[in-house]
Amino acid sequence: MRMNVRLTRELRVPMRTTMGGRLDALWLMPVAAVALGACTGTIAGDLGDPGNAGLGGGVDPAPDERPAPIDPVTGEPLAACTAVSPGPSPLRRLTRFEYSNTIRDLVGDTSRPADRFPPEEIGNGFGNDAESLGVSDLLTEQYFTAASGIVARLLADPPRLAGVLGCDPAQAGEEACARTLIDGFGQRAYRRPLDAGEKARLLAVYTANRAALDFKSSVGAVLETMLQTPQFLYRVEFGASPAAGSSVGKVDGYEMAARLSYLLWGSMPDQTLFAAAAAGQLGTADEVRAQAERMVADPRARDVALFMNEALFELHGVETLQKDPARFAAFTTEIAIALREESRRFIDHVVWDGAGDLRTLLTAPFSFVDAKLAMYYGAQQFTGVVPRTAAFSRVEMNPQRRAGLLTHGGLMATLTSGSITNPPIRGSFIRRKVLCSPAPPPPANLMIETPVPMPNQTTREVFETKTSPVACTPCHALLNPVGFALENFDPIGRWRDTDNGKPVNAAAELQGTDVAGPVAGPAELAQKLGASAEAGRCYVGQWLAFGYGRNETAADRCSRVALEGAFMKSGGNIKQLMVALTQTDAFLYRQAAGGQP
Amino acid sequence: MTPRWLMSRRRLLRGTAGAALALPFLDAMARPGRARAQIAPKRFVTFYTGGGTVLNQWRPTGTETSFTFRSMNAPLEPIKQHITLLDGLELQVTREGFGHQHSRGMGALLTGQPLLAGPYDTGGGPCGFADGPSLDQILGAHLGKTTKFKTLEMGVRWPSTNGGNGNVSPSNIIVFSGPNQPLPLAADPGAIYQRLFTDLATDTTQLAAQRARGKSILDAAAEEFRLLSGRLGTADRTRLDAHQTKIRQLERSLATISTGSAGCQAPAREAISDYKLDQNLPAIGKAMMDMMVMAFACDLTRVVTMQWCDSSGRQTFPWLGLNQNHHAYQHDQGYQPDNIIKINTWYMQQLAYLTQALVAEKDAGGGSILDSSCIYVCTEIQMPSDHIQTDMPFMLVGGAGGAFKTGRWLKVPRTPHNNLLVSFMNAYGMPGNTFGKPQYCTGPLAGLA
Repeated sequence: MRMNVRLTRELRVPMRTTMGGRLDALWLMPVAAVALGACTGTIAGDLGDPGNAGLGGGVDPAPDERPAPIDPVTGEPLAACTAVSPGPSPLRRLTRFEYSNTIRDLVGDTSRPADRFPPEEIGNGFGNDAESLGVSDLLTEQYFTAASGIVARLLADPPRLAGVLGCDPAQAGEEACARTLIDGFGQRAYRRPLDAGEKARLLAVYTANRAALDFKSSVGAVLETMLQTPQFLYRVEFGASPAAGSSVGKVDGYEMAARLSYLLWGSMPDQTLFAAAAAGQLGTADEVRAQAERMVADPRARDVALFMNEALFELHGVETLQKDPARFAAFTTEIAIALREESRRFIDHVVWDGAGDLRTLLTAPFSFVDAKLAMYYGAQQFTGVVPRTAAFSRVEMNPQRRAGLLTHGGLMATLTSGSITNPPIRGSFIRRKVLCSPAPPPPANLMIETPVPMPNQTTREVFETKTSPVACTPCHALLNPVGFALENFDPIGRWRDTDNGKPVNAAAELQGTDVAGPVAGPAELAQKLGASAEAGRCYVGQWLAFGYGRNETAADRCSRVALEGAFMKSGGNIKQLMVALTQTDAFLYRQAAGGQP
Repeated sequence: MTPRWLMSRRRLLRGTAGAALALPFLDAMARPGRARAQIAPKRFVTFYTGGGTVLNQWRPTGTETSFTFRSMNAPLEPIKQHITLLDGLELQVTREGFGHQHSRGMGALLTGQPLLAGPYDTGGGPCGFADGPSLDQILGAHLGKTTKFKTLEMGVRWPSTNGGNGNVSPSNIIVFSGPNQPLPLAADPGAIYQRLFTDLATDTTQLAAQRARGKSILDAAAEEFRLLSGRLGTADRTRLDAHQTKIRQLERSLATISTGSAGCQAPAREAISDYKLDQNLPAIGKAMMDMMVMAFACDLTRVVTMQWCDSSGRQTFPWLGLNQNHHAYQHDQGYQPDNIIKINTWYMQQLAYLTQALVAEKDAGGGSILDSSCIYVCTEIQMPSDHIQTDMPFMLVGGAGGAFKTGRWLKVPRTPHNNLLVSFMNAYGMPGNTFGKPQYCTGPLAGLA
């Protein structure tokens, strides 16, 4: 909440923590929280079996009775996690992604109307940070315009309209049919049954308009109203009443249905979820898990995983990337679009049809290209059959050269803004996004002069010289090696063995990470990152922020421990991580109204 | 609603020979009780270009009142009498706060505030947004009490950063409704056109029916916000209340029929294939400037922010033969002043075009629209070769209805730019001696009047 931020920001400072590599996620950690001595468990080491992750049993014990999660390092129960600690539960507004998905599922309109909305504030990096999202005049107008367009298209489509109405006004009578719409469709739009007041007020909209307009336009006005209410645009939660003396409670069945559907589908609940909510079957962690397991088998879950990973790796800009045609004639708009498509198909495949784990995402020696992209990369990159048509298909790539998403041409090209690569920029990106371990920011008064290309020097040599002064090395020792290891990728993301006429040196000594040590080049860098527990924890934290639509706080300590444990236990499986996100305090409980920290 | 309001101005204008005939008719369309202003309303424009300038090219030769532009700014020669060059301002407030210097500059330009702490790292450490509202919003609330839109915010090639999903980030925004509350820009020229000018082309009866229906919908939605808000905790309530306020504002906007000058008419609608492609930037920019001029002529708004880009400099300039992105010329390939000059010369051509269009458009009072306007021409750093924020290459175009004396090269060495923001406030009828963070403000900027 904005006012909150304003009042408390003096108390909140960015800091390094002992919890390892989560500086940016924990920027908001209140100073006081550091004193929470019980929360000291840090997960170290490689991905292994942490044993019992302690995700609760078949019964849903009262908060003070349930078993504590096990610290994967010590094997001891995390005493601090016996009390439920859901963290903040801010009111969440539908994002553009969620709005368009919801409209698709609610009225069968696939036009993605929210693409025309103004972009969200970046907040937690995913644009769904509830506390960051403001409402502008522009957005309010777009809600109005979008609702009007959605309803106009619906009214012009008799079969779809009939489905939404749920009745025939000629048979049922007009007002009765309007009431049916408000009851039935209203429950889907508001994601819970409407109360009597809500129904009466919507009927009043119908009646007022019906005095001047025909039936269709009048129910249209009701629909347009619904699409602009807070019940539709926000995910309103009141929760169950917390026990006396506690500010923490469960959410009710309908609220849980929406939590599940927006987390796993980026959209509204389906009939199964609504039915489970109505039957009171979303009350326990196991019931929630069962739904989550069902839901991750649905294609809508693929959209969410793709959206999250594309936002995380900032692939959004690849297709509009423009390069100097005089230097990079091969990099056309068509190629830019194909590069984005390659990464999209790769992510989708790995998460859902392949091994499903983060390590594969970061290391897989295969990808998806069409004939043009295959030609762009060059035949030497591939070890198997290469497509000869405009259809994308899976290709096996030289494992010494390509390994996972970070070695995709699209990402490598977007991380280069000029005609030579910029290893510190590439290194900084990976440290921030993959390791959650950014180098300290440059001093504010630093005059950053990016080096110029030098004759007879490789890019690496240019940057080594430039960053050699002792004042530069503390940070650049963290950034440069990661970028140097990627020097085999030229500014448009193609493999190169020479740079400026000299052999590329992509050997580097990684520092300041749990996988520090020598790497010979991009493939070894990717293997290191794929094996990094720090990268695993980072990825968990990124999902936590995305999944819960906020920034991580100290109160999320136990939710994080549970997620990290589940992620490790599953061998870093992304789909299972999505399911695990439904099993935490942050997901199963909420802070009662007014009880937010 | 009085049917008298609902006469189509456009139809009236089509049927009349000129301003002399049209004016009495326009009176008939004013809201009852609202006297139509005979004095021209004051307008404020922010014209932002990214990445700084080449200072020794920006500085002219000559004296305060008799100077000659160097080649980079030569396009401004024909509009010189309208210009006040402000030589020596500093973005002093960027010395504190968080984030990259580019982002700090963006945040400070219109707010005079540093960036707050925050979660998102745009390359200079994590930061939030500016710690206060931007001047355009404050002027919009003051000047826009009767206009359809309090302010308009347009982005020509925006956002060009890759962050997240094309989100609003500290590196790409200069307008804020409050602390940590950036405002998104409208970037689709077609959507802006629709927003501004659809009413002019709609039959009055149809418009009246649409408005009545729209009002019933918005009233009902706002009521849901009101009722729900009361049941929520403080933080969530604040969020819903803010949203409800915006709905009420939209209702007011829908009900407002602007009364403009005789020249008010929808501009030609540009067909732009894809507003996210760099090569379309000149056409988008021209469309937006044309729409801005008509938004003033029709008195749809009195405050416009036009961001040509964001500070990441990712766009290319293929129509200038510059096919690397702006950042490459700024410093990524080494500072290339010749190419930066080319880019800035082009931007100055656009500024001259806008100025001349505002001069050509006659205002309600009989003068030009520019007479009552001031364009704040700004950028977030001084020069792209480094990121210093002293000697900012700021200029004003237009005297804001006689508040500023133009045609001058005003030397204001080592002066905090917050002082300029105070002077803007005063020039637009708002009293006060400070704006933004007070430590970086010493009162109005001396010598402007």
